[in-house]
Amino acid sequence: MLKIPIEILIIGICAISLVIVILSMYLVLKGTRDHIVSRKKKKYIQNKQDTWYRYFNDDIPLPSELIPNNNSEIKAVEEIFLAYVENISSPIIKKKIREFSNQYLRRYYLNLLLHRRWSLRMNALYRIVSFEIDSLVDECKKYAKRAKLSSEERFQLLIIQSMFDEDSFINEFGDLLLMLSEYEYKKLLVSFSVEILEKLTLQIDEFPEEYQYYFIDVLGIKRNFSFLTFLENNLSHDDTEIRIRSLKAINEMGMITDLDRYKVFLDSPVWEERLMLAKLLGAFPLEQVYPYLEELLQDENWWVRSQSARTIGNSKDGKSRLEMFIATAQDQYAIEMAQEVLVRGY
Amino acid sequence: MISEYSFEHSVTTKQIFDALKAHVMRSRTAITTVFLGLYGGSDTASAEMPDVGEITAFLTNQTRKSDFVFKISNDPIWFMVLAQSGEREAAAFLRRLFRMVRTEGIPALNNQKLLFSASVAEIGNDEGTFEELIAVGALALKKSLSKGPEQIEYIASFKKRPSEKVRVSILEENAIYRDVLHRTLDNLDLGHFELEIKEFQDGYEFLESKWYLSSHTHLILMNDILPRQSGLDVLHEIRRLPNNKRIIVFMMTKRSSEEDMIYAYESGVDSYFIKPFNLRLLEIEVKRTFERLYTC
Repeated sequence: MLKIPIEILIIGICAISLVIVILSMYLVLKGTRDHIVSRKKKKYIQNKQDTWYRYFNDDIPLPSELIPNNNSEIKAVEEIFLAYVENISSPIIKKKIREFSNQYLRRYYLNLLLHRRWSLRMNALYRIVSFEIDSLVDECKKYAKRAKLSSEERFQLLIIQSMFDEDSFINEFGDLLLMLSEYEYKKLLVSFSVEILEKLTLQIDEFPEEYQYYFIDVLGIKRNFSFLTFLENNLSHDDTEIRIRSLKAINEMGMITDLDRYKVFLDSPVWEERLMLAKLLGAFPLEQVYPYLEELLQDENWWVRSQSARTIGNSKDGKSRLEMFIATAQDQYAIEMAQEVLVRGY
Repeated sequence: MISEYSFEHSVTTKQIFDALKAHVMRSRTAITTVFLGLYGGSDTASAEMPDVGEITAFLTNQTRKSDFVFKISNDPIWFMVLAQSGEREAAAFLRRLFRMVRTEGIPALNNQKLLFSASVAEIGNDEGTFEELIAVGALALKKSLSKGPEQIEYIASFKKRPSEKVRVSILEENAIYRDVLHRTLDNLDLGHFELEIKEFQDGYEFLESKWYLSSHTHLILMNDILPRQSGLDVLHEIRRLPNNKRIIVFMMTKRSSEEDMIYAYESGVDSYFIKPFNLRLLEIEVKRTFERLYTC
């Protein structure tokens, strides 16, 4: 049996106890400090939220009592601002938050930007965007040049650049996007204003193929009619995928004006294009497009037949047209499809 | 056979008026009473007096099926109750009538052209009695006839709508934003509607409170996503209530998907706000919603 001298054992126990005591003291102190911060924060919110409401909604100068005196109060202001910017859209409130943050919160976020803890630096980057703290843009430019950047930091810095330095951002976008994952790229595009996206449509040909496709998908998500001309011009593109995705994006907008432009897809060798046409025809009165839909109802591809039966079925008087079709048509596949839509009801 | 029944009591003008007045409160739809007098009628010798029976028939013909026209005995004066009409509709009707009898005349009287004046009282509450209305209405008619033909005197004393308590529930997790919504609604001037506002941090707390089970008109302003029970859970729960039409639901969301919006409307929301949204938009939507509760 291993024999440990009693003195060593006692010293060991004392050392462990000491560590435990120091650790406990640290935890108690930290807990107390957090508690004090949170209490001060709560108190500030309770006492000042009414004044903040009046400052934001009335035409009054900034009451000096709102200026935070310490970090706890800054955290309280941060919470109040976040509640406003995330829930309320008002150019006036936005401007007041921007001016206040640039004047009274700049130093706090600058310190966070330089902090060694990643999560605090990220917080600062998020708040610069939320509160539009443009006085920290130069700091962010320096930050972007750091050798070690996480993908989250890089992404957030790109958003900051797109917000405050639009021209350089658009010029560099072709190179910048290569650093992004598909998810980040789409997220970034969705966050862009219509104006930025419009400018980017001029250089889309320089993007790698996949990035062109995502770009078109995002235009569909945005559902803004200013992109319609760009998307319609894509309908004669050599790349099939670009044509299909443009048709999809146009379908998302739910409105097409010039039917002749789309008729060519009736004879497309690509079934996805015929499918999209069957969907898009739903935007027109059935009377006007029924002959095309009837042709597509007898398509060789199941998806095309199914979509065109649904488009007819969803139109006014569509059900009776399908019944008429069943009574007179020869194509058994098409008849079954029409019957299916009638039974299902959509 | 029902046609063989004969009723013991015939209904009086006062009873009809009282029934319609009671309906004003339940349906939040004003009625308007009109005293219509023939201009120069009391100076006319009885031999020159046009056939008042024909005038009554003509006036009945000009009003809607839901309206009533009564001739006042001995005087060329008619009392009309225009159901589902406010003062403005009544005034428009009278101007049309004045023009018609002045230019085309009354067909059954060989197109004899006539001139009228009137007094108009919108009834917005059930406080005034029939007798008071008759007294004030007759006096106002006298005044309008003294001013000349085609005059209208308006009586404001019966118009005031009674103050109505409306419950408002705010269901939002973020305490600061909840407070902002509360203050915004509290500051709204909604005329005779008095808001009683309560805050809830989630759907569970709201449903447990049973605050929505009263017969008050109830506006619920809620987030779609809430801890414990979501806004959609609350929506489904309240739309199952038998008397749920009195509950107006405004849903707030961070999601801007049209599919979500369609689903929310199908499930019974009355208005849908995509965050972030302007508080002025919420204010005006609430105002318009309450204005619409009164149909005229």
